[in-house]
Amino acid sequence: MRSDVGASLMIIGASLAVVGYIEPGLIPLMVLGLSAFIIGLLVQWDEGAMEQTIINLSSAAWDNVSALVESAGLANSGVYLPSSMANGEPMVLIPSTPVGNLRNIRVIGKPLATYRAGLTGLLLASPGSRVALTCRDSLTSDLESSLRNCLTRQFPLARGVTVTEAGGEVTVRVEGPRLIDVYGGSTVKAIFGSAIASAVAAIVAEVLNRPFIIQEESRSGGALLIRLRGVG
Amino acid sequence: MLKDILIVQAALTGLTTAFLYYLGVHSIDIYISLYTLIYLATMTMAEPMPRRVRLLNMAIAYGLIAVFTYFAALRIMAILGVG
Repeated sequence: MRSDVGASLMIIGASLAVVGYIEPGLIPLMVLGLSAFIIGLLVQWDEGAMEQTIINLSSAAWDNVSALVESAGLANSGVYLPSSMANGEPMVLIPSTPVGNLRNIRVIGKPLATYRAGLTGLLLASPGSRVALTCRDSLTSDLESSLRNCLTRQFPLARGVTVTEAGGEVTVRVEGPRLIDVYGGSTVKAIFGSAIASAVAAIVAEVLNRPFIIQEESRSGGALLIRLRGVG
Repeated sequence: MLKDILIVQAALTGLTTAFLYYLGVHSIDIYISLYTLIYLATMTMAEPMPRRVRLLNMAIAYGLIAVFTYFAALRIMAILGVG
């Protein structure tokens, strides 16, 4: 979530400067107001600038992953596996065939796993895997509170979360999402989903202890709707 | 990094303004000139800055220098008896 410090300083600074200008004999107040306004302006512009630089630098890693996945001929959506199915760490399986009924997933060793009757897929960590791993101690059997704890308290990624479960599908509405393009424009986004969808899918898979894929991501007003489908 | 520099800048500006007020200075040009000096001196320590912050910094610096030059020109004109 963006900090409001810069905007607050700008408003206070502008108000002080106006009062100092109008009222005779308050020149020092006007200069202090101007100074606060300029500091607020710089704080506001600096917000997220370093973040963007880090994302740009690390996008090379995502380009490499993208090239690896494409060269292996794997262009299917990732399947978010709970840690119980992937050697104790939440992971994403990129299957070599379109996801049908995933069964008998067996990890050969990173980054390979077999599923169904001996088919092989890539087993990779996604941004969501890291989120789920960090939040693992605070996850409970209540999906909504687990998501809320993780996405709003431990990671400042959203303002609120509501969950609807129907059949094998889970729909998560993320209010006030902080949309960060962690992949730096890499095509790997099509496999993992956006950073928030990836985090949601990994947590849902971990809490419900079964594999999930991201069926759909859409914007609804200021919220992000993420539809997940259980597989296997 | 930038935030540390801005805290130093705010502290210096506050102290200077309070001191000038204590001395009974009421002319805006002195306040603005000293603030310009503080701003330029502190912001040199903030390098390297992200590109968009650097552009904003340059715009603010040029603005402050323009105002400083205007006040300096008024003073020099007064001394020379011009205008």
